Amino acid sequence: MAEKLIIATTMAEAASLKNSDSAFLAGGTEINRLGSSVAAATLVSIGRIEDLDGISIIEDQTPACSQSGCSKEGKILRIGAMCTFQDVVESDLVPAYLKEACRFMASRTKRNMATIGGNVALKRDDSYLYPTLLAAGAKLQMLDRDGNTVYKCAKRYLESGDLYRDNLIVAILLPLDAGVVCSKRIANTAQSHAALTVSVGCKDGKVRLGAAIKNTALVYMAELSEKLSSCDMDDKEILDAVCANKSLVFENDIFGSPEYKRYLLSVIISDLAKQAKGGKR
Amino acid sequence: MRIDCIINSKHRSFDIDPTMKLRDMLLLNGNFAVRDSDDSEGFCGSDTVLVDGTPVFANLVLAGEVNGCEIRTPDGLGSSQHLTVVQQAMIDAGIVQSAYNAPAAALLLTWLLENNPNPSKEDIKDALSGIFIRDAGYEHYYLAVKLALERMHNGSYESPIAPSFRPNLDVIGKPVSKIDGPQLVAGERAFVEDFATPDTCYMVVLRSPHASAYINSIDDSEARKVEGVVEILTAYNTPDTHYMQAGQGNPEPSPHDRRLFNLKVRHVGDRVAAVIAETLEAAKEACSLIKVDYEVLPAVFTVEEAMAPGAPLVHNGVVEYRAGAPADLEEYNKLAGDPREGKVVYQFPLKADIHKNIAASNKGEIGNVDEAFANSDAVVEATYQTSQIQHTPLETHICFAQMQGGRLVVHASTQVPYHVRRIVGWVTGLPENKIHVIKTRVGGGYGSKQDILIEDLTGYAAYVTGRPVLCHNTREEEFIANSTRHPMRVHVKMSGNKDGKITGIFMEVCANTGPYGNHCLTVPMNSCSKTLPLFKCDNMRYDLKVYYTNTPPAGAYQGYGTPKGTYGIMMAMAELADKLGIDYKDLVLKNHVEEGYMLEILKGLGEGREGAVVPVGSCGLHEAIKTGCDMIGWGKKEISEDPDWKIGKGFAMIMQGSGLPGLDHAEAIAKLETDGTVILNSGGADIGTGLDTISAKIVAEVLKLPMDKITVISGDTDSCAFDTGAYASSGTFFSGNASLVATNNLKDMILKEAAFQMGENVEDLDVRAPGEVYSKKTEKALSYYELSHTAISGEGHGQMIAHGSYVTKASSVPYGGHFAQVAVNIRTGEIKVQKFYAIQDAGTPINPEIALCQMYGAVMKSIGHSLYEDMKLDEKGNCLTANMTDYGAPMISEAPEDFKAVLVDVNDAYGPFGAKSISEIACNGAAPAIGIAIHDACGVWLRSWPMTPEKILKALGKI
Repeated sequence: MAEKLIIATTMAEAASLKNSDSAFLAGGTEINRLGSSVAAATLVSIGRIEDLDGISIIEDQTPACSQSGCSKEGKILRIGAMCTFQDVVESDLVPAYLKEACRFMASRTKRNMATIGGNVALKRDDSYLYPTLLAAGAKLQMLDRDGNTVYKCAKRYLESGDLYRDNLIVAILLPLDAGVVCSKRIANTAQSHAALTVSVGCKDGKVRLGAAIKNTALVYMAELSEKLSSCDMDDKEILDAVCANKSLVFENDIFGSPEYKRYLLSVIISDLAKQAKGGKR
Repeated sequence: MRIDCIINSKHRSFDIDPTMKLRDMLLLNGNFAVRDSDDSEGFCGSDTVLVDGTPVFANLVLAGEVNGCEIRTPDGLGSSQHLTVVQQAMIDAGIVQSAYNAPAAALLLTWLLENNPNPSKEDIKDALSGIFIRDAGYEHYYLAVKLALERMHNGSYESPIAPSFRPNLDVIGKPVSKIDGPQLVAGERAFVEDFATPDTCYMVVLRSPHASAYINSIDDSEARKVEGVVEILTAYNTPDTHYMQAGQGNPEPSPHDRRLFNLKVRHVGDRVAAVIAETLEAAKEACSLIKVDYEVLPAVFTVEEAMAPGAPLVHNGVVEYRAGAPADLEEYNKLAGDPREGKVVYQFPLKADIHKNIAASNKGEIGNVDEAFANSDAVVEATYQTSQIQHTPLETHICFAQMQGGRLVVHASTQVPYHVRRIVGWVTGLPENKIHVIKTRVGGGYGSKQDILIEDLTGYAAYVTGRPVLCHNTREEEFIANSTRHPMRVHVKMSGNKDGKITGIFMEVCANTGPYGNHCLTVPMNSCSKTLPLFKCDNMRYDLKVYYTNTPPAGAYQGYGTPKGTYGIMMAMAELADKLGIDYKDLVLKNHVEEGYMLEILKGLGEGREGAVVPVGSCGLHEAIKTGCDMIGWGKKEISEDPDWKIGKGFAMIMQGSGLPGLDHAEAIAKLETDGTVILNSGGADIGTGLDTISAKIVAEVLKLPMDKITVISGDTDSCAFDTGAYASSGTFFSGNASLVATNNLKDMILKEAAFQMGENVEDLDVRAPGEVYSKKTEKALSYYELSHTAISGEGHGQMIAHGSYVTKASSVPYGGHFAQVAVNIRTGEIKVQKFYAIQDAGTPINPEIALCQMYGAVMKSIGHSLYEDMKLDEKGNCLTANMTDYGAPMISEAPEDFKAVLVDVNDAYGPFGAKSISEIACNGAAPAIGIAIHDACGVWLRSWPMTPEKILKALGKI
């Protein structure tokens, strides 16, 4: 339980207040909920910072990221970190694939509260959005404690561990043409935590594959993305690749057996890859 | 921090900690209709408010964030005296039932219509996607919106609300607003939590972390030092009284196998100690400081483990019998173990053997089943397993008790106020005249509030401390320390011939009662007694055993044992049809009972006594099956455009009871007040199902009084007379009949008094609207007002007060057919319920709109049980799904795409105005209907709950 609440009014103020004892308070659906994964003595509310709002098309000012292969675009879609899931669903500017990912959060009331930035920052293994952002080649705009703007692609942000934990996520940046992005979420009920959320994007033959596997990992599946970019794979080949990926350890838990999760992950990847590579959503 | 905001159009300022939750701030402001059902999980939506015009969960918002904001709460809509169009439409549509979430839902629908004047079905679904409705389902929410819009646009409703029955009657069988609807939808004081006093102490229970352990010692010395602690209760300072928590007729067919606190804990979550403190925080802190030394014991979690030779024993104490003790009891008790085991006391023999973990057993047979099996064309044999599931009422268990004038007053959210009084009397030692139980409105029961799960301890705590005490279960406690549906293993063997005749049925039921034996005999009995009598079969046998284990406790749950038995027996019947090569529908039609068929099988299926063999009474089963088959297009194969999705259809015939003939007892008192109005005191417990409205309608119908001249007070042990309670589908039939008897008696008194006052013969008089006596002979009339006024003034005969008592041996059985169309993805195992049609015979549905909603609600529950809900335990007995999100309760997203409830018109001979029960039976059909449809879709029989995608894939050989 937090002991202190600070209402930040500027991005710089919010970023400067973040430390190991504090946490950003965005929509509150994670921090304030029962069994939250976030605990902090001080909460820095960022709900009143106007610069974190808004959805717009802007000139791409981000540097290209050679390590992750992200290219620099002409114009990009900027989604302010404090935009709620419902803001995204209602926006005319947001592509359908991202709206679909936002609708994975079945509760309208929760969608009214939960923010894009908050969901990304949590990097949960049942994330509604992250696999889709990975598949779409999204980037994050952040502000560090010293007020420096930092850009990182979603893949790099994910793989960086806690490196950027204290940065304030300012916006999610999406290429206007991300190619075809297809996602699927498997959960017991619409309100349950997802056992699996998978997203496959394909642009100019290059496949991006993101997956949130509950109690296993939130992961960009680089090797499989490469293989799928270079050739078509059948269910068996994908299953073999999933099984061969030693970094993916599947637990036997309330979401199902390891065999079930491996199989499901494989057939969903297979189906989504066919759709994405075939240009169908 | 100073928080300035506008709440329901009024400026408000608070000087509070900004990290306080918004809901807590609103409670300070008196907005108690902003409730909490999930301990801030963001699931149930009871805490929904609007902040700057947007629906949010108040428990997930901090007070400091709303500074300068405008907030609307459910209680800011309309009062019960001045309802808004939306609130009224919700009542009229029949969705305001137990209603814990009705105010929040009213707020959401109001918000929807303010922002979208012509919402589509998808818009309504989206608006309600964050609110959990367990009682009435979601279907009539669409109707409520439609009604509200019609009234907004045209000033009146145009759409029919529900079908009407019995044109010769005025209010019976017609949609009439539920009488407690305004209070509930407006969010006025109604539930236990609303009656706690400012000086209330809070009780928090320390629970066992072990599935089985002896308590060596408890050190509460540090806990007692916490400021504000009033008392700490443990096994060492509470009575050595053995009882049980099932609210059943006395003597109960359940063993008395527990004390307030035991020295052996028998499940994770079992009571160890209770702290009563002046604040909740102090109680929690003190709880955390209690030191307990346990001697951990091996545990058993399944019936297979419990029945294994040498299995750890859940109970191994001394056995006593109040009646019918066996001759070898002394020898038997020589096997008793550690004194900390306590005792097991039977009111009469239950064919139990605690040394084999058997809590109860029974068996019986008609005809010759083995011979039938040997001489039939086909025999099928399969085992069906049901899982442990929880009722999840929105209002978690709660009790508020205090001493007043030397008496213990208990505010309880209960289905059984008189059983609460009796059991609280047992544990406190108080006689019943010193205990006053007030049943408040009940925010969802579904059987779990048939058990006295917290009232015993809360009542005792208030009695020994002399302080007002509130105990309110957390959602986790609902799962681990409450009651659940008994997991069952139902083995069915069924034989038939090629002519479509079923020749023999054998059911073997092994039930898991958990650590205590609440309902341990009667729930599994129901698995047989409410399924076998569906069949015209001369050879039937049942054998049931109930095992103690160390899982969370089991108890009563809507449908009782019937959903499990129905799942097994109907699935087996479909498997038999498959094997015989006969269409399942034809097999059903050839073998179901009809009116007049003598039910020999009932002889051995009484509740701990011999059952009465009776013929089938009014029966709408055939019509339900025919109607449902026509609606769903039975026999027509549906083909999906996507080859991965396979479509199938299934159905199940269902039955229940209407109370327990020969056991249940209901009473009512009808009073003609001095102005000619009537107050009916009903012993019945309206748990949101509209029972009070039924009683009011009965008075209105008999005395020809307008509904607003009738008040029903129910479930108050001081002012009402005895009633066994709202369980076993008894409400309409027993409590309703008691109201009818009392009202008829009052009518007789009115006519007699009127004859005296009018100088007429009683035979020449009758009553008529709007509440007067008239003479068929002289055409003179006397209003109830004048009649009553004269009767109590000067030399009158006194107030007319009539008592009605109802018992019966008659059995009125509701029947029905539930139909499902499912789509199964053979690649991913996903299952979608595309269509669900519930066709039921409820006799005369006295409240048809409420009846339909109860059918929708019960079906939604059972779809949940069949497909999603599951209390998963780890190897140490910890529940891994003890919250709403992980547990898997279905919400509007899981509702069938095409969902219909239909009432078959049947007039029963014994029910009040021909009524039978409605709600429980609707829990019985979904599992077999869906299971059979899954087989029709993809060819696999799923023989265990929940029927999951993983099980589909395994059955298909995909994994």
